[in-house]
Formats: sequence, structure tokens, C-alpha cells
Amino acid sequence: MDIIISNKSDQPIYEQIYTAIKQNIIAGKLKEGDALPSIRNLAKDLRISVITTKRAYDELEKDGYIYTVASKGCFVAETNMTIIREEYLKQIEEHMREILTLGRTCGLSYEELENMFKLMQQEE
Amino acid sequence: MYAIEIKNVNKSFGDFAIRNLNLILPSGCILGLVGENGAGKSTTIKMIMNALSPDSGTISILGTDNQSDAFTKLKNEIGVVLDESYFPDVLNPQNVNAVMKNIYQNWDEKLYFSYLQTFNLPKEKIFKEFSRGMKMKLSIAVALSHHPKLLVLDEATSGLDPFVRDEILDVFNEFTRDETHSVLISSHIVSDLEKICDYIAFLHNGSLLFCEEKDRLLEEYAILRLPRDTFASIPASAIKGKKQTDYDVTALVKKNALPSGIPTEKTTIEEIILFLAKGDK
Amino acid sequence: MKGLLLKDFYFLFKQMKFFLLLVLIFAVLPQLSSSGFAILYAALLPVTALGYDQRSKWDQFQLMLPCPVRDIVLEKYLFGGLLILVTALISGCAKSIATALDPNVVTGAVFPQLFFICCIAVIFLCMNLPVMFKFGVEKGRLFFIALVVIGVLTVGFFTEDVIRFINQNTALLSFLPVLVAVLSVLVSIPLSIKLYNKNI
Repeated sequence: MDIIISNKSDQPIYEQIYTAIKQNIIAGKLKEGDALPSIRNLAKDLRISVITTKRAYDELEKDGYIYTVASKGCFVAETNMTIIREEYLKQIEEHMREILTLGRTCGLSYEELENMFKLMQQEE
Repeated sequence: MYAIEIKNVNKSFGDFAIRNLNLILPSGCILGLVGENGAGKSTTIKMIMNALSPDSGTISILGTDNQSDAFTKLKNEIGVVLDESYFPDVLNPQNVNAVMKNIYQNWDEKLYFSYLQTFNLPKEKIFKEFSRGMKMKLSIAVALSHHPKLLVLDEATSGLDPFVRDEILDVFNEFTRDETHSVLISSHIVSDLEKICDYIAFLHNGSLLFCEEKDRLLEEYAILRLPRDTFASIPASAIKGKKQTDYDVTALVKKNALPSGIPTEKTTIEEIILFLAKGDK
Repeated sequence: MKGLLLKDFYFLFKQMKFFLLLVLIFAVLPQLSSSGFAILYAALLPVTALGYDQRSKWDQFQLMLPCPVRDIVLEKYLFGGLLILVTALISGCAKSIATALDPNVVTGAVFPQLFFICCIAVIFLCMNLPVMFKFGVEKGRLFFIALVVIGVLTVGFFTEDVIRFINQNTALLSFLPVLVAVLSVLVSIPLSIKLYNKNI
């Protein structure tokens, strides 16, 4: 599992961990039932606070991505396809909004944007 | 059970006093005690170890009242590093082993010698000939070699070069991989504490200004830099400290008290401390 | 306590080599007064060790160790007691050998005299240590010097007179130094512990 934490980023560290683990699960790098490193070991390996890794894991558990087994640790939960699909849809929406904003900024019309998209699709 | 629980402690001598100190170190955590020289850090540590009695209040270490008779035995579980070397000049690390073996119940000779090797400390050289860095490393080796549950470190990294400091901070970080191990470290080198602490406690003129989760502090506070006239429109409740020049104002702000849309810069614990200590000067 | 004793012995053999040699020389000389000086000096060594502790800040660190105050204080008395005993024994053996070689070289009964000096040394130690524990060795120095002067005078000039006086009087009187020594130990140690605790 790859997690890169940046101190320079505006995103709070616990969010960075949350996002990184979530991406790993969605991308299939972490499979259902896989054991996650313990809160403490993750903290020490990344040289960050235990409180922060705990917070990230708590959020992940709350949102259903992982679950805890007492005295055994945390494991990846059953991949809920709906959640993953929703996640991707959300990302697509965000990107689309960005495209519209950028288009407006440089004066492109909606039709011009649509044409660009069709061209790209044909290239693939 | 908390590793350290300080309740309503007061201590005064002459013109300096520690007032109403309440501090908790949860088990398995690293707490950094920051403060300027003379803020009361060393006094607090002496009181924790019962080398000094508070005027009032109680201190509980690993669940035991530190004024009770049982506390002397509990010191077997506490590793202490003070800011100066306190081993007699004429002893060498080998002698120290012989002495400590008969003082600490859980003294691990093998572990001690392995630390000596890791830290590159010559066994037969007397302390008179040790550099400051070497003396510190030896104190740390001694503190770790009796398998303590709690490390109490008073300025354990001052006077050391950045490489050694990093090496030593790594050791403390590893120490708390075990959840029954806790660390209290006091320092005026805030950047060191920022690297490894879970909590930061700020002692200023004998009073504890705050004790917070380090990461939350970094999330809550930010730096704002604006021209003087624009700055006037910022609500006072958001400003926690500021520095003015003829051109602009730099302020420490609480992000959630700011109106939305104002761009801020990330801050460091060191900046937070500096601004809070200086106030509105 | 064993650890603390060990530390003091390391100090003795590493830092005080010259003085140890001096003590040894005085101890083996046949005159009673030189043995007296040696034994008395032995009684001073715990104070020197305490001073060294205080200068190297060890005394601050040892409060952080699992050593009860009772052990910290008692160790200095034990250290002194051991040194007095060893010096007296060395003296005694040296004088016995000297007597065997030349019966005229040593006057009087060696062991009772040495024993008397040991009692004086113990009393001396017991008067010194509480002051040092309370005020620290630096500040207690004046008291220390006064005691040394009195001690030296007693041993140097009055020993033979006192012993003659004792021998001429009842056997009961000969128990007096022992009694005072024992009493001073019983008073001094708890006093030192109390004073040391007050400093914390």
C-alpha cells in the first residue's frame, strides 16, 4: 500500500491518509479482507501522530470502507460497488464542473466543448 | 490509565511561580512541553519525578501517586534524561553499567551495550573526555536500558547537531511503537517536537497556555498576511497574535473564525508558539 | 545501595589515588598519631564523595532513580564506616607486624587504642554528615574545617592522655566512647534523612 503524506499540502494529514487508503481500496489495490497496518505501526512508519492515524481509520470505518476486529486489527470491508460507483460519479461531476468553468474563462461555447470531447473520444 | 496526570499543581519560589497546572499524558503518546527558558519546564519535570515537592496539587504517574511510598519502586519504570550530564567525570560507560545494574531492577546489560554500539560510544573512555553529544547519547542509552514504560526527557536534544538530533528523535519515535510506552519531552527547540509529538503543551511564565493535539493545532491555525488597511476588516475574534510592520500585518488566525474566501498560509507549531507568546506586541 | 557504594568506590580509586596512598602510608607508620590521622581522614572521605556528587550534579539525578532517600543517606555512612574499619585493620596489622619485628617500636595496647580512635572517627562522621546533607558541602565547609581542627587536636595531642586517663579509671569509662559513637550513629542517620527530605 502506498501512502504519501505531504506536510506542505493544505489538506489535513488525517484526510490525506483517509483519501489514500480509500483510493487504494477503490482501485482494487486493497482487497476485501486485507489487513491494514495497525494504527500505531502506520503512525510510526510515516512519522506522524498516532492520534491522526486513528482519526483516519475511524473515519474510514464510519464510512464503511474498513472494519475493526478487537485485538486483531483493521480490515478492508466488503467492497460495496454502489459506494465505489458513487465515488467515481462524484469525481466525474467535479471534473465536468472544472471543464465548464475553464471553458467559460477562455470563452468557449458549450458546443465547442462538446466537439472537443467527441474528437477525444474518436481518437481513443 | 494515564501515563502522567498533573492536577492543580502550584509551586512558587521567590519571583517565579507555577500556577494551577493541569496536564495529562495519555498512555502510548508523546507529549512535547514547550516554553521559553525559565518558563517552568524543568521545575515541572522535577515535580513529576518527586525530586521537588509541589506546594499544592497531586501528580499521578502510571496510576500511582508520586508522593506515595510506592513511587520509589515505580521509578524502575521511568527513564529520565536531564539536560546536563550528571554522571561523575571519572566514570566510563563500563562503570556506569556496573552501577546501574545494582540500581535498576530491570537493567538489561546486553541492551545497554548494544545501545553503546549503535551510538558509537567507547566503553572505556571516561566522561571527562566525552563531547556533549556523546554524554546525551549515553544518558539516553541508560534511560532506555532498564525497559521503562515512561520516558521523561528534559531538553534531551539541545546542544546536539541536526544529524544526532534526528537520530535520537527516531529512537523516541520507535520507543512508542509499543502502546504501553509514553514519552514526555520538554524542549525549546520546537521544530524537534513538531516532528514526533502527538500533543503539544505550551508553558509560558509558569502557566499552561494550552495542551492540544499537534495535528489539530496545525489544522486550526493559519498565517494571514495582509496590507494594514485590509487587515482592519478581519474580525478580532479570529486574531490570536500579530506582528506589524510599516507595510503589512502578519497574524496568527483561527481558520474557523475567519470569513470564508480569505486565503491563508499553513503554519508551523513554532510560529503558533511565537505568536501566542508575543501576543499583540 | 550497592550501586551507590560502587559509584563511590569508583570515585575513590579513580579520583583520589594520591590521597589513598597518603592514607595508606600514614596507616602503616608505627606511631599511634599517624594511624589516628589516617583513620580520621577515612572518616572525611564520605564528605569528599558527597561534594563530588553535588558538583557533578549526580545528586540531582539520583533523586530520579529508584533509590529511597534512606538508602542514599545510609550509603554515605556505610561508606565511611567501611573506610574507617579497613584503615584501622590495615593499621592494626601493620603495627602487629612491627611489634613482632621490634617490640619497642609501638607503645601501648594497639587494638584498644585503634578502637578508641575508630569511635572518635565515627562520632566525627556523624557530626559532619547531617550538616553536609542540609547545607551542601560547599556551604558546610566552615563547619567541616572546624571539625577537622578539633578532630586533629583530639587525636594528635590528647589520645595518649585520654587513654591513660581511661586506663587509670574504672572499666566503665572505657565504654564511654563506644556508647557515644553508637548514640551518635542512632541520632545522626535519622537526622540526615530528615534534613535531606526537607531539601526536596
